[in-house]
Amino acid sequence: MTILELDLSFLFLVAVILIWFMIAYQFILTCFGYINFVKSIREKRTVDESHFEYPTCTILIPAHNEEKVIDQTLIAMRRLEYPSDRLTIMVVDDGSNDSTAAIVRRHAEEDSRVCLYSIPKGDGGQGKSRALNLGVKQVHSEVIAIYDADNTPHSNALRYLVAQLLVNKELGAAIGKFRTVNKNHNLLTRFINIETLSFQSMLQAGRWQMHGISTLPGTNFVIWTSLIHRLGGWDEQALTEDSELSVRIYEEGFKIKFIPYAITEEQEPQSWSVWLKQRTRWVRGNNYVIAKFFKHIPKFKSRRLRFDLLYTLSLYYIFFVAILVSDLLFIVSALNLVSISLPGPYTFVWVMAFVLFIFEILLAISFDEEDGFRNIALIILMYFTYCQFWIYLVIKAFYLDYVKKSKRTWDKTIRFDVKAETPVR
Amino acid sequence: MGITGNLMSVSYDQRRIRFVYSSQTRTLVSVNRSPERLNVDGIGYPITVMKGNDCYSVFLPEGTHEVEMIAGDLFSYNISWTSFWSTTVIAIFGAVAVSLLLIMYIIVVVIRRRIRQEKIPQPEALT
Repeated sequence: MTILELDLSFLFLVAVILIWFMIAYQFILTCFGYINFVKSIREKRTVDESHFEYPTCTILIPAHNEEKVIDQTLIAMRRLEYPSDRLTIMVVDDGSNDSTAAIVRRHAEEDSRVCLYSIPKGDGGQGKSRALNLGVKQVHSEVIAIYDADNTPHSNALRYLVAQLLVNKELGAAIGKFRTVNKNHNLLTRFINIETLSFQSMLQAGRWQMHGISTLPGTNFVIWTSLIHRLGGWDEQALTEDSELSVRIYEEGFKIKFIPYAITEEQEPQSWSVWLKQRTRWVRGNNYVIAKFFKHIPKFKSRRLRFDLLYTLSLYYIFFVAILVSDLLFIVSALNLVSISLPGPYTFVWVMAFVLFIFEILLAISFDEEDGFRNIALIILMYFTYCQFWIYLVIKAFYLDYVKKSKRTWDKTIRFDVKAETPVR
Repeated sequence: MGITGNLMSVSYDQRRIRFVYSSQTRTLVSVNRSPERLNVDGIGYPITVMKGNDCYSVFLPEGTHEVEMIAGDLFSYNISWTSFWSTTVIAIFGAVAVSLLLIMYIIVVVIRRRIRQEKIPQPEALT
């Protein structure tokens, strides 16, 4: 073995061990996600049998040129099972120049709970955080619910979310599950459907069950109005404003609970270009959150939050580097440029990583009865295709943030016409 | 390992090779790691290593001899040791994890079936 080969062998071994540490943690989260699934069945029954004095609630829907989807969204919102006299549905029109405002006004005429708040000219179109901050100033209710403008929540979703705030005094917010309304549109939306379901069942449910932590998604969550005021609203610099807010909620001493049976349907990107823009924004948003809080991690009051942020950091950088090293060494070995011969059952280890990936995702999507043969085939395909794009995304975001240092700007995700696909529940 | 003489027996572990050979002339032995120490019939033997493209070779004396060769430095030995044991542990963990996931999946399927049955009204309830 030459010195180069010895060094590469060492590098490869470290990469394999690091990758397996992350795989092992992912497996543990999947197990906790499973426990959460079983517990939530019982919890849902208990909530259904209980009676609650629901607080006043305002649903905030930031909308910027949402004429394709806002009608369906408001139809779903108006069907929510929540005491009528305690619910306000406020669409925050963020400088739309299409018929969004007209559609909302039509609904407002039919239903007094619906109202439109138009952001004054000049202030509009500056991103979701800005729209939410301006919208919150108009809210007088005890609880705020946030929904994206393309969401069609199930009729009981809001009730389930608010009930948890009432039952658990330690909660600052409660988040629900989102499903892909256009999942059958094409291969990309099918991949996204599997990805989002498994992310929620493993990372959100698993983290909540394991150490009481989950992260606010952009939609389908409720938060105490007093808390959002105390925290000073959303960070307008953050591209993933909700993960940033999550950290501050935990630092304030509150928790965020994942409620898997509070479900909304949402639209996901149908084209690769839209997907790429959205995901680059997410990775850059996470870069921002890590950079903002990194120095403060040792001072965090919650040890679990400390661990969780370090895990996020590891996932994006350490795990990423390990995957990259392992992939590169695989390629140079396959091309016969170097030979890495280490003792051990490496082929079996690789097969196990692949099989674990398939079984973890299969289990995660089975909670939503999405474990058909077609999806199993898609999971196998994802391993070699869709998941690999993650490498490109992390490199791109790293380049934009730390090399090019380009300005972080909000890119609104383009909507598609999905009237035919939207189920009404 | 390659040898020009007759190899009578061989055994090896991570760093050490033990073999018996027989040859009427000098014998060339090639291994894939640099030999560090050589004992012929239990006595230390001076080594002159000849480095090839992807192997290291040494000459051994004629006759029938029992040889113990220690190849590779401590660093490469440690890497090999860590590699073997860590991947063995990983393989066992992987197999156990997959089995557990399979059990959990079966339980989920059973739970779902039970929930579905609960939702279907029973014949008595219909009457």
